[in-house]
Amino acid sequence: LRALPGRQGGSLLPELVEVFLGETPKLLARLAELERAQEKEEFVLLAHRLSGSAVNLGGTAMREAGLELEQAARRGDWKSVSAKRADFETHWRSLAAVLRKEVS
Amino acid sequence: VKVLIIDDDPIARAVLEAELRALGHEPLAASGAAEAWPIVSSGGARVVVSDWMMPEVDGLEFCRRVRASGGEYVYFILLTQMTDSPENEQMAGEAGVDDFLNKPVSRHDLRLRLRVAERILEFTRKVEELESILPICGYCKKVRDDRNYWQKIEKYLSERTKTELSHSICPDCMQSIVNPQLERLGIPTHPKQAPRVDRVQ
Repeated sequence: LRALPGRQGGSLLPELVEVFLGETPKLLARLAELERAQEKEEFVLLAHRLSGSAVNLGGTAMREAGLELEQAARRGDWKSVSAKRADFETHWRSLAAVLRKEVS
Repeated sequence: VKVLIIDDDPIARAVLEAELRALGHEPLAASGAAEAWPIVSSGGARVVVSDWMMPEVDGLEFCRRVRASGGEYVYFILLTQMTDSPENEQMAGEAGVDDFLNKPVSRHDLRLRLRVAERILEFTRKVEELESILPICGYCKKVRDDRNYWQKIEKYLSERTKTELSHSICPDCMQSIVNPQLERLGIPTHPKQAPRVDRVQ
């Protein structure tokens, strides 16, 4: 990913990290809302999308946590979703820290 | 090759676009089926790399729509995040999916899949070209159909065009074939007709 050229001349990585760090907190907040409302379908899609973004930036642990979260929501197991979402957010914070360091 | 990427995740789209450019292809991108449909239906891309899980219309449903619309063959690659299960593979096969790629997509896998796609599309083009040529016997004028059967041209045309054919005799054949036979049998012949002016020389 570091070697791929970006759309604005330099490397693609800092461009993607900027999008990821900017968008993810809003999407995580939306995920929490969806959990409260128990909106299964949208929750699953959003968890899936966040996992996909993470793995494209090397966040395999966040992806694994995201897939578990997605599966728990699919089953309608909202008790488990709550714990798994907290775990997902922990992985997000770790990945965000690594990515910030990477592009600084 | 023009490759259409369909993914609701802007990061996944951007990575795939850059990878495709690095491989020498021409990427087009859409965030969902609504954006992708005009590109595919106008023949803007013959290879599609689509995410499976997307809001509203998912990758499988989009593939079904592409197949149902007919037209030129589109090579359809489905992106997945999970390990492919036999059930998922069967479902995807029934929808008309040609191949899978796991996320994150590696350049190596992408290159391999696109080579296969290019080969399949080239074979498809050749088959379409051959299908547009109708082999006809130089002697009896029977034609060979797509199941390799030789059949009378009347039957072939009638089956394909749903046109009822009625038998008749053209002025040229009347003059050169029928009238001499009638003369030999002593039967009065039809008046001679002027040769047709639109005859192929």
